Amino acid sequence: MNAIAQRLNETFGRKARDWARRRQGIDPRSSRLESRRIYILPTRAGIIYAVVVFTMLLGSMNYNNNTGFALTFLLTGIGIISIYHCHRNLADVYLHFAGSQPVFAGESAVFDFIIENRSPYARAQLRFGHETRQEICDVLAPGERQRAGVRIDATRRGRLNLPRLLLATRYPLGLFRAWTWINMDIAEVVYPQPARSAPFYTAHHNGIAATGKRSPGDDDFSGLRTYRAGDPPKRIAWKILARTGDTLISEYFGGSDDLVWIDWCDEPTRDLEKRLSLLTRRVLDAEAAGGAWGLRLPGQTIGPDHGATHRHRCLQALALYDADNRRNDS
Amino acid sequence: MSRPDNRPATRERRLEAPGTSGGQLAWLVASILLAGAPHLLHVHPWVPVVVGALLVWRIMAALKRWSLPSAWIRIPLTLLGFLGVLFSYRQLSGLSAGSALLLIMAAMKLLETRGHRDRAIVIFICYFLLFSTFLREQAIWSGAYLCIGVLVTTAALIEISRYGPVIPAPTAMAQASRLVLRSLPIAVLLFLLFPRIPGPFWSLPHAGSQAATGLSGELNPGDISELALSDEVAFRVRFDAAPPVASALYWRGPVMEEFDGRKWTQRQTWQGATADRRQATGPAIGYEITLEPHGQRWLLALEMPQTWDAPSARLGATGQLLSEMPVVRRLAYHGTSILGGRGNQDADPALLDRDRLLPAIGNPRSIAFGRRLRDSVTSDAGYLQKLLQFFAGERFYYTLRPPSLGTNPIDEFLFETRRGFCGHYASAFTLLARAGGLPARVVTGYQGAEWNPLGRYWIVRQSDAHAWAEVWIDGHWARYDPTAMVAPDRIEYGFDAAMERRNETVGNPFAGNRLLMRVAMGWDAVNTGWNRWVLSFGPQTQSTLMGFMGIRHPSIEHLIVTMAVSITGLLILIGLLQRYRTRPRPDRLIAAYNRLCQRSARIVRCRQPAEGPQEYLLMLCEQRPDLADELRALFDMYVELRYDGIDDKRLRRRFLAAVRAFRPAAA
Repeated sequence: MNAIAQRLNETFGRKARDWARRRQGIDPRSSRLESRRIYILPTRAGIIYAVVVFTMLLGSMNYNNNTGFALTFLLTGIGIISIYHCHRNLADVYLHFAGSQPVFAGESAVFDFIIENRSPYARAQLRFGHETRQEICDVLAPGERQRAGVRIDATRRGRLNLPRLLLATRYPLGLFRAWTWINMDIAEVVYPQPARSAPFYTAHHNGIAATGKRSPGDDDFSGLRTYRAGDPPKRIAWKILARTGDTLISEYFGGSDDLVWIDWCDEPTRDLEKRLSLLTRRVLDAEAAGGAWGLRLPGQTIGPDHGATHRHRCLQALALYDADNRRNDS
Repeated sequence: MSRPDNRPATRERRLEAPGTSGGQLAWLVASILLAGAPHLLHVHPWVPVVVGALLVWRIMAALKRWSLPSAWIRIPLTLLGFLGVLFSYRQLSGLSAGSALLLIMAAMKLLETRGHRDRAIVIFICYFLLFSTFLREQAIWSGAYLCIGVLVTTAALIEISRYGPVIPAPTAMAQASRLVLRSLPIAVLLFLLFPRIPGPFWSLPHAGSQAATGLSGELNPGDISELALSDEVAFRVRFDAAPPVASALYWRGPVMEEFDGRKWTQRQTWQGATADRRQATGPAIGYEITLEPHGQRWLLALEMPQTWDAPSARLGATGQLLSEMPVVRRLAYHGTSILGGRGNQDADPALLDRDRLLPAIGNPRSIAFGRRLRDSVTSDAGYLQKLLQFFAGERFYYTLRPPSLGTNPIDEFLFETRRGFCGHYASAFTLLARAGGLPARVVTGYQGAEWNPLGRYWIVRQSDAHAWAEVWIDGHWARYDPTAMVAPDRIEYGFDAAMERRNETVGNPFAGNRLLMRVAMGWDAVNTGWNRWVLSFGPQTQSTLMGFMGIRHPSIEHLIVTMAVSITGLLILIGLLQRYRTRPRPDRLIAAYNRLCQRSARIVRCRQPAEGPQEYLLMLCEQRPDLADELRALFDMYVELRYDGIDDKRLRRRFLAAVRAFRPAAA
């Protein structure tokens, strides 16, 4: 029985989803879930309820029992009204995409959303998330906004597309389930999974080990420049900051010795994913070391530079390196 | 490698069907108790014990974190419950067996409440328990109990459908009441318009507790004293036009023709015989009777009934209305009667002869007395007159507590005790009439009625039960009421008035206290409304209702179409109403503030998006010192309303008005 139900659900469910998607198109990142796109069907409990009420109707007719009729019709009314309540619990909710953060493969990406209730009545028991796994948002008072994260496992590097999301509710009686599918065109970068450690570069390399903490030029002050995100706090010119309010960074002579080049060609493996994994590790280590560093990939060179933006650019380049081809291969 | 450290502050609760929380369990148990309570007294005593034990088990399991029993325990337990019911009741379908089964099922289901559906099924069983209450009891209190029951079980359904902690009970109750209130229009429409197809489709269970009350179908002098003490309502009457005087209100019930010396009983040979009612003459009185169920076949009617619309009722040979089936439900019917009508005038002589029969043994003195008296007068009418004078002249007493009578009850009553009740007088009179050679019979029924000014109808109570005699004279049956000779005011003013003189007030317990009397009458009126509009609502009421809408002879199709159209209309209306009421409304305060800023823009410039009201105000005041006071007042009001959390309606109105009036001239 259950297997059949599941088969039916799969077949018709997919058709329904595709139909809904064609009907709705791609949702903007800030969407009002208007009532025409909210679907509602009885739950299994709702079907049992209908059977119970129908049995009561037969009983009332058989016994010509008017109080029985009254109860039957009251329960019918409650069932019908619960459709309205269920539907309006979802209708005209606003859903805003509130950003996401890149992750490394093997972690889970969190897509942040804000559920907003602009209506003059409270919402209850909203379930938001994956089609198969949702989180509950218990109460949303009139005018209230609540954050809700959708966590998606990032299994492989590349671009992670936000899957079809579901906002559903069974409030108030659990007899009906109202839902809407949300298709937002949102993707997040998944960096390659960093290798546990990267071996030292072989001798022919021009730089020193990226893991090396030592920078000979650390003590030779060269000048000041403005702060960039990711600069180590110890290099902030605190005295100047206290005096003028400007955040400046002391720079030191490092010469070419201080500059680290992370090079595609230097990796001791031919396996693409392993190589990217090693490069990722080196990028992270180089950034942690604090010096300026650059990345050389076939066809592109990034840097030298340092800071969060630089790190992201490099990691993104690694994440997307040949990502589309790989997808086609697999 | 750590996660990105700016993780959003989301609540991480996954919706793997959680178990039943303690709060939800409390709601489930409360629902079972509430819905099951009316059944507890009607099922075998072991059922409440078992149900209680199961509930305690479930509660303990929740408190002590025991695991719930597996299917290996549950299924045999359930089977045991079924077998127990089958063994105790020898069936599974009767009313009591059904309630017992439902109770056990609810408690058993509680033992396996894992997911939402299990919990919902417990609630559905509770709905069913509430429903089956009505097969047993339909009084108005049960209607009130239903409302409370539905509210609580619906609140429980809300609670058990939730993920996460339960909401406070008052909130759940408020949500449930909102649901119930909004569903009332649908329920009322369905109730009024759903076509009532006369059942039953399968056999009715015996309502065991419903004992027959009212007239007993036989008359053993002294029996009626028990009835007279009962304040229960026998039936209610509404007259089409002005009611007749109280002394003419003789409601005929069972007629007794067989007398064995102690006891009057109905004759069993009246099948087939139907009285010809057309021979009665005089103005007809129309009335509608709502008869309480008494478990017998007779219907009450004023003498002599001419028409009646009770289904499958006929007029017996004794002029008695009989229904084909026992009256087990409240029955409403309209009848017309001709007061003082003379009944059937060409009665079967053989039957008349049977009405002259004297018992073979017993009451010799009475019979001898009657014969002597008959011989002393020339006519039958004169004889009956003499008899009445006898009852009026001798020292007979009317009392509720007559002494018990021996083997010759009529003799003892007439010549020794002389204390009795209408039954004594009627049977003595009838026996004496027969002794005089006249066909005579005892008629039981009710006499009089009590006016209910609030409901505008008459009440006839069991305490109005009465017995009188009918004698065949001059070719027709004539009524003789010897009791009237003894206590005339008993007949004129009703039972209570007669008793009052003897300080034996019975009947309406509130007689004498006007306020309590009014309350009692009001309550009876409410009850009658319930009976009239809820309990006896049926095809007839429906066609009356359709008549109001201009459909004269509604068929089932009419009803279905009307129902479909009106329900659809109602649903659309509810939908529109909901849309209207729940539309996102722009905040009037913000709208007014935006208008204020737009108008101020004429002074200098628009408010920058990042500019707060205070900053903007400062800038405006610098530019236009002449408007400073007005502007400051306006902006201060806004700041107070918006940021101080003061929701002062008057201030709000003042602000809105001030913004409307604010029209600064351009600089």
